[in-house]
Amino acid sequence: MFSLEAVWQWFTDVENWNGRYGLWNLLGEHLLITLWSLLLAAVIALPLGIIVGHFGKGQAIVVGLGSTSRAIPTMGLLFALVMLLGVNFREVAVTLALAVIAAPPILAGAYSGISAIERTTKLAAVAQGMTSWQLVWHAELPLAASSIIGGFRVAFIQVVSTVVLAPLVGLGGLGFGIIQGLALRDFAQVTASAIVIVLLTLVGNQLIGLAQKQTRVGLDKPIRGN
Amino acid sequence: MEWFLRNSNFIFGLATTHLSVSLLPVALGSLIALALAKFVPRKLVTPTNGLLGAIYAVPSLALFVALPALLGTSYLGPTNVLIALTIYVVASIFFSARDALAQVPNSANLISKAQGLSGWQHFIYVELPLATPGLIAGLRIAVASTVSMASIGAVVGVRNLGYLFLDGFQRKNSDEIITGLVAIFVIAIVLDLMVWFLGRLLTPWAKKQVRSV
Amino acid sequence: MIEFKGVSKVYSGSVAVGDFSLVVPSRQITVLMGLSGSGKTTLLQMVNKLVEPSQGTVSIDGSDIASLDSVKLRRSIGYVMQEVGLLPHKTILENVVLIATVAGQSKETARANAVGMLNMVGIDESFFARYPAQLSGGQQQRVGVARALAIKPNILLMDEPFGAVDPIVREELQDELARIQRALGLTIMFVTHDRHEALRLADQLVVLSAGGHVEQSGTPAEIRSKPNNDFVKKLLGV
Repeated sequence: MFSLEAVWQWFTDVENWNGRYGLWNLLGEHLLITLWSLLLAAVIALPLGIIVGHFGKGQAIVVGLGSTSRAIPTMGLLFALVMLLGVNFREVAVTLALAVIAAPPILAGAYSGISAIERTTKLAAVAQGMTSWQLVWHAELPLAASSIIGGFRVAFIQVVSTVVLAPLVGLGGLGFGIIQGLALRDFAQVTASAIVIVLLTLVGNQLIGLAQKQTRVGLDKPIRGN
Repeated sequence: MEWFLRNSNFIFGLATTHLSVSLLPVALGSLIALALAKFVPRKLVTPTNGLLGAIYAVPSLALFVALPALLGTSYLGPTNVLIALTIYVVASIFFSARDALAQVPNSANLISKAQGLSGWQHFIYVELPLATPGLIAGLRIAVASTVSMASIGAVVGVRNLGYLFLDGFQRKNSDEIITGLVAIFVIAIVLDLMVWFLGRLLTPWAKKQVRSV
Repeated sequence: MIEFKGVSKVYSGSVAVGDFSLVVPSRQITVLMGLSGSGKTTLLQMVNKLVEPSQGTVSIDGSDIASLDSVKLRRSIGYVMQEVGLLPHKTILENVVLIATVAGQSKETARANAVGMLNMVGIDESFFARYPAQLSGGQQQRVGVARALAIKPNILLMDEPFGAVDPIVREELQDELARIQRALGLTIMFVTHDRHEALRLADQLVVLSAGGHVEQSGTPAEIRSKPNNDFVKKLLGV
């Protein structure tokens, strides 16, 4: 079934890179919908996480949300929302579903990052005359940055994974090769698409991981490497 | 609701498959991960973390269909799904197990060493019990994610609850999709509670509070 | 009897202990007293091989312990530390019994010894089924001592054991320790930075400055009446 040669041939066929269902376009679609949904999720989850972390109220809800959301099957959410909004609005439905999937990890990252900042650090800042806003902007956000990025990292992985399923509801994205390939028994296409997806996630994960490391503030390390 | 009742036998069958496809990887993966977490030599910790982290980031469907290229399994069917899910569980629990083992109090470790417990005795009587809360927490996460991810196996032909999504969408039957959602959600929650309860059973000392004299 | 001969301990660059020699006589309480950085804990931990000397030898009753199996050695020496280190997931009795069974005693013997030692340190039977978190700091440390004694050791190593306990309870514990030592004929090596404790407990008192340097060694009475130098005077408040 698996043939290395067939896969290589598939990759070297220019037709597979261009056009509506060519790799370039699919990659673009995949990234675009990922970014939109991350943005949408961030707009709600990030401020919410910061507020709950800063004021310390409502942690129970945040934690509860985190654990229950993990029990919701991402695939099911995708289909359910598309059915709900109708096939004509499937792009919106999918983006919405992805945002719902991305929100909990972003919320968790923001919340834990901000709440982990020691009381004494915050107290010192306030004692030096910072207002709440200044405290958040100058102290809490930079210190929590690594954790917030970590939340985005998890969200990114979840969303990219779910977008792979988008062709099942008639959209594009890199999953197209896998799903059409399975249907047409073109296993070269299946494997090739899988390889591209794996590369995308590896690279994306590494890059975000680097950003996470760069922003981490240890007690004994300088904030920006020198 | 009607739809559910009419097809309950069929759904039950799907649910059973779903459970076995989820629980086997969890059981196997946890054991492998725990052994790894305990015995991985210090020098290999970062590369192992990196490797497992990278694999964990790969979308499940992609991993399901990439394994045949690596292992020679067939593209359709439960084998890839089982292997892939096990790998995900290993990654997830490796991280949480290491954290759990790391927060065993130093004084307990020192006394154990000072009073001559052998390595094995130390693991069984001190480390494992004290790491249990963290291990349970990690297990809960792994169970929930695996149950959710298993549904994607339906795309490669596994007849589990995920099938309800695919079939329901094709037939424009929203009842079917909702049933699938609810069924998986309920199974995940019930399993989560069971693991939580197991945690309470294993840690009777956590319930007693300090009453200083 | 424990003997240190020319012992030193160096950690990448810094000298924790430099050229230390001492005889710790049997059936007595020897107190190592000094401030942090004096290497006292390091020296204590060399006796049960938690730390290995960079140079020199440590011998017990004439035999160099370097060649002895560490695990076996530790099962014959009692160890008590400030944080106590009771296993939080086991009851008081279980904590003591566990160490005794690890040391090779049968279940019945271990239990009998555990009960006996817990009684000896003044822990009432009603506490046996409680968990460490339910006991006060002083009570926990009594259990810590009972645990160390349950293996019937000749040697007891104690690292600032009463440091986390309030002064009144502390004196009680010191008195009890002295009583137990006399009753059982134990060889005790005791580390502290508290001068009152040192002067109260020691049969032999060893005053240490940085790096394990012995400023003076002798009975409390001797050192009090004839302190060697200003350091000793200041440290002991004489």
